[in-house]
Amino acid sequence: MKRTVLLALMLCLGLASTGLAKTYTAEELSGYSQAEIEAMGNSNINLQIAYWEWRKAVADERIADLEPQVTPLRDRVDELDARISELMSQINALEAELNQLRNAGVIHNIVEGECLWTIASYHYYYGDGSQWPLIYERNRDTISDPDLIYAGHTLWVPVPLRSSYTVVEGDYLGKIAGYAVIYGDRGMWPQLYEANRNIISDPNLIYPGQVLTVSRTGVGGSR
Amino acid sequence: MLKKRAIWLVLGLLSVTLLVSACGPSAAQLAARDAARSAALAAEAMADNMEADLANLPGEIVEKEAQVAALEAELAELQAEYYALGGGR
Repeated sequence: MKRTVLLALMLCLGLASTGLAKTYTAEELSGYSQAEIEAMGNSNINLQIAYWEWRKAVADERIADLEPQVTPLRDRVDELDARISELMSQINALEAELNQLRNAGVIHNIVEGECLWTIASYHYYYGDGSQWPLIYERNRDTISDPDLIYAGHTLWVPVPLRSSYTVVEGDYLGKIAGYAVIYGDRGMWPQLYEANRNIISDPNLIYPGQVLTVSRTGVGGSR
Repeated sequence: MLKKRAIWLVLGLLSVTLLVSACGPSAAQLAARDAARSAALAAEAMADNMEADLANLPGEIVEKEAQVAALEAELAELQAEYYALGGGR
């Protein structure tokens, strides 16, 4: 009698623990798809938990394998991003300073017979004599009377340096290179020629209306 | 008589056991299932990201190295112009 009750109790406990104590092998769990597991809803809860724990363990293994390979690559990208950002900020700062320098104006050496009107009327400056007050204002500290300027003195002409130049009648490369807004040095015509080899085949032959590029790389310039 | 009682007892215990089994999972089990699911999906997403990085980053690094070289050249050019225009004096 006692034995019967004991057996019955063990049977009950066995039944109650069915599904709770069961362990699943990776092989069994890999036989299920995610859709199948999710379709179970709230049934087979222990199977579902085991399934997701198995999936996590597999992912953790992948992570452990990948991490040593990916980390140095990510570090290198971070390093390069930092360098790019540093270079960009240096370039931006330098560009700002360069713009100031480019727009500061050029120095004009006054020659015999020039007045502010004639200087302003040169095509490479304003091409308009009536703009002379701009030169006068820029040089108020050295010019007391705008009608009195002297050969041999210098003036600031507030025009930016040119990045391109349109050839006019009577120009040649040496003359153009000598303009203060170009290089201010006739001897630099080869640089002008080199920068425009695509449109100039013979440096002695240029034509009015041609638009020349003025390269500023490594230019000594005149200021 | 005793035998009859014992049979009733066994039947009673069996009924209770079946009833308990049929009740379904507890809230704690459901929460554990959901937590395990979230953790597994998050770990898989992380592993997928790493695999994508492993495939893409070498190319990205080459591009960024070329970008750095180009920027360094641009900076050198600007510095040359800067000094040529009298900057830094």
